[in-house]
Amino acid sequence: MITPSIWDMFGLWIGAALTVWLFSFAFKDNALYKLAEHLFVGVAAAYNFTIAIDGLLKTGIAPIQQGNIMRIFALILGCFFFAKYFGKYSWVARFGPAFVIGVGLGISVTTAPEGFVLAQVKSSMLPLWTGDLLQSLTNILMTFIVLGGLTYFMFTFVPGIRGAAKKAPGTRLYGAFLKIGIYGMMIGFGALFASTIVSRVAYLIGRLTDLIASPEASIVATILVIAAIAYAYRHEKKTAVGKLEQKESRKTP
Amino acid sequence: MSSMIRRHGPYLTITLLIVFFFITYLFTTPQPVQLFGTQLVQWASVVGYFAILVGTIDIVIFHLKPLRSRESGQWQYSAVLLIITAIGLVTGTAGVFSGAGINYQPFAWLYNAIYVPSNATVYAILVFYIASASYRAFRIKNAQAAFLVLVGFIIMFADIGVGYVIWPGFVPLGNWINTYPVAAAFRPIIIGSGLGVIITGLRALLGRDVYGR
Amino acid sequence: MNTIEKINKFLSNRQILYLLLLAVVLGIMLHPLGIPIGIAGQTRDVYNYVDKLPQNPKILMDVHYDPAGATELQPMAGAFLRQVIVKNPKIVFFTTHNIGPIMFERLRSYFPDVFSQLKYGDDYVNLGFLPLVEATFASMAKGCQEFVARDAYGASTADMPIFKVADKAADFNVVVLLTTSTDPIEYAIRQWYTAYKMPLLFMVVAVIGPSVQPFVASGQAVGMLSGQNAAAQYELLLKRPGSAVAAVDAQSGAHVLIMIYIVLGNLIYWPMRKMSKKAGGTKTK
Repeated sequence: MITPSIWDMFGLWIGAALTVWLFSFAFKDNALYKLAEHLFVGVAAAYNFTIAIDGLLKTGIAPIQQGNIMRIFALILGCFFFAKYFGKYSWVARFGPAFVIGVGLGISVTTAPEGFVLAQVKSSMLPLWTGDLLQSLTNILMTFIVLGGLTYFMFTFVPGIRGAAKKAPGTRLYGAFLKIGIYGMMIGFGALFASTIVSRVAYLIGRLTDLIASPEASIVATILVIAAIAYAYRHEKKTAVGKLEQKESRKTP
Repeated sequence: MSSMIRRHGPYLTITLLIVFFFITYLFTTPQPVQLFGTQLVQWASVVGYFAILVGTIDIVIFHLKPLRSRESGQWQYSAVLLIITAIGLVTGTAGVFSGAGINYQPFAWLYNAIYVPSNATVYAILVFYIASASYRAFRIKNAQAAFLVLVGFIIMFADIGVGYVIWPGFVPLGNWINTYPVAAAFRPIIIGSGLGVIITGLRALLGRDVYGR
Repeated sequence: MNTIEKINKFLSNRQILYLLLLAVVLGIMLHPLGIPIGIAGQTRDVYNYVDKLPQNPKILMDVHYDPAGATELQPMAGAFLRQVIVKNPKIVFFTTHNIGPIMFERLRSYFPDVFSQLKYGDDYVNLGFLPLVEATFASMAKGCQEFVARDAYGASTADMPIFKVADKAADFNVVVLLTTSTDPIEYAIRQWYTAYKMPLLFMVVAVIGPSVQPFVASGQAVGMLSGQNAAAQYELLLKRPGSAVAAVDAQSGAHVLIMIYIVLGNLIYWPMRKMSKKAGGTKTK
C-alpha cells in the first residue's frame, strides 16, 4: 500500500483549509479569508512569473540558439515593457504593447470581416420554405430573430417616434422588429442564465469533491473559520460601539 | 523630434503594422515579405510573455508599500504575500533552469497545495451570488422578463436529470432552443463585435484612437 | 410583521440560502439518487463526428482551462481521448491558459489508460504554455515546430517525429478547443477557420455555450460540447461513466433549489408590492 508522504498530507490540509477560508467570504469577510487571499495572490504571481520565464526560454532563447537570430528583436521589444520603472524613459514602455496591439489588430482586422460578419450573415440567409414544416418554421423564426436583433442594435438610424411619424408604416415596422429582437434576445439570455447556473454549480461540485476527500482537514478548517467569523462580528460590534461613544463624548462639553 | 517620437511613435507603430498586414493579406507579396510577416507574428507572441513578467513585478511593488509604511490591518498580509511570492519565485526559477520546468517538486507542491484549490474556489464562490440573485433579482415585472424566465426554466429542465424524468421531451426541446433560436439571438451580437474589431482597427490606422490620449 | 413579510425576511437571508445550497449539494453527493440522463442531439453529433475521423487523425488540442473549469472540461477531454485513441492519433497539445500546464499534467494522470498507449514525441507532444494573444494562434497555424523550439519539458522539437506529419494548419484533421473563455474561440475562428478552413471542435464550459452557438450553427465549428451535462452525456455514449455522470444528481438538486427560490421570490413579490402600494408607495425589497 502506498502511503502519501507527509508533504502530500500537509498539502491536502492546506488545500482544504484555503478552500473553506475562501468560501467563508460569502458569509463574512474575516482574517482567515484575507490570509487565504494573500497566499493565493502570492503563489499566483510567482507561478505566472515562472511560466513566463519558461515560455521565453522556449520561444525566445531556444530559437536563437538554433539559428533563428531574428528572434532577438522580439526580446528587445519585450524589454521595452520594463522601461515603465525608469521615470525618465517610461515613454519607451508604450512601444511594447503597441507592437502586440498592432500585430493583433493587423491579423484580426483582415480576417474579422469574413469570419465574424460575412459568415454569420451568409448563414442567416435561410430558405423560408424547405418542404419540411418544422424546419421552415424554424428558419422563419431564426430570420426574424436575427433581423430583430440587428434592428435593436441599430442606434444611428432610428425612425421618427413623435407625432405623425409615429404612425408611419416604417416606424410601425421598426417597432415590430424591435419587439421581435427583444424577445429573441430574451431567449438568448434565458439560455445564458440557465447555462451560467450549470457552470457555477459545477465549480461548487468540484470543490466539494476535494473537501469530501479530506474530511478531517475540512472540519478543522471550518471550526477555525467559524471562530474567525465570530471574532470579525465581535470586532465590528466593538468598533461600532467605540465610534458611538466617541461621538457622544464630542457632543457633551 | 523626441517629443514627436514619444507622442506619436506607438500610434505610428500600430498604423504601420496594420498597413503591412493589410498589404500581405490583400496582395500577392514576395516570399521574403511573407516570411517577415510570419516573423512579426511570432515576435508578438514572444513579447506577450513580458506583459506577464511586468504584472508580477507590479504586484510585488504594490505590496511593498503597506509593508514599508506599516499600514494598519494590511502590512501583515502583505508580508505573507511577499514571503510566499519569494519562495515561489526561487523554487520556480530553480525548476526552470534545472530543466524540470513546473514539475520541479517543491514548486509543484506549492502550486498544487495553494494555487490550484484557491483558483478553483474563487470561481466556485460565484454560485452563492447566483443563488441569492435568483431570489432577489428575478422578478417577473413584465412579459419580457416572464419570457426570459420561461426559456431559462426549459433549458434548466433540459440540462438536469430531473427534467428528463418529468418529461423526456425537455431534452430535445432544450437542444432545439440552443441550436436555433439561441444561435439566432447571439448572431447580431457577433456581427456587432466583428464590426467593432474592424472599426477599432480603422480607428487605430487613422490615428483616431481616443482611448490612448 | 405579517406572514408574508416574515417569509420574505427568512428567504432574503443570504446565509440561510448559502447553507441550504451547500447542504443540498453535499447531501446528494454523499447519497446519489441515480437520476437518468437524456442524450442531446448536439452531443450525439460530436460523438458521430469523432467516430467518423479517419485512421491516424492529426489533432491539435488547446487545454485552455483552470481548476474550476476542469470539473466540466476534464471529463470531456478524457472522453474524447478515449474515443479517439482507437484510431492511433497524433496529438499536439498546447495551452494558452497560464494554469493550463498544470491541467495538462492532471489530464495525463487522470487518464493513464489513454496516455500509456501513446509514445511521447511520436504520438503526442506537449508544447506547454503559449501567451493568449491572437499572434499565437496565427503562429501555430503557420508551423508549430518552427514557432516553439522546445516543448514543455525542455526537449528540442526539431527532432520530434510527430512534427513531420502534424505541424502546419493543413496537416491537422481537427482542432479541439477546451476552453473557459471566448477569446481562444474568436482567435481560432479568425486565424484557423477563416484563414485555413481548419475544422474546429469546441468543448466549452456551459456559461459561454450560448454565445458560441452561432459559430456552430454557421458551420464554422463542426460541433460543440457545452457544460457538465454534455460531458455526462458524452461519457454515457462511450459507455464509460465518470465524474461528470456522478455530478448530474447534485446538479439537479442545486437547480431545483434555485428554481424554487425564483418561484417563491415571485410569489412573495406580487403580494408585497400590493401591500406597499396600499401602505402608500414605499418600495418593496
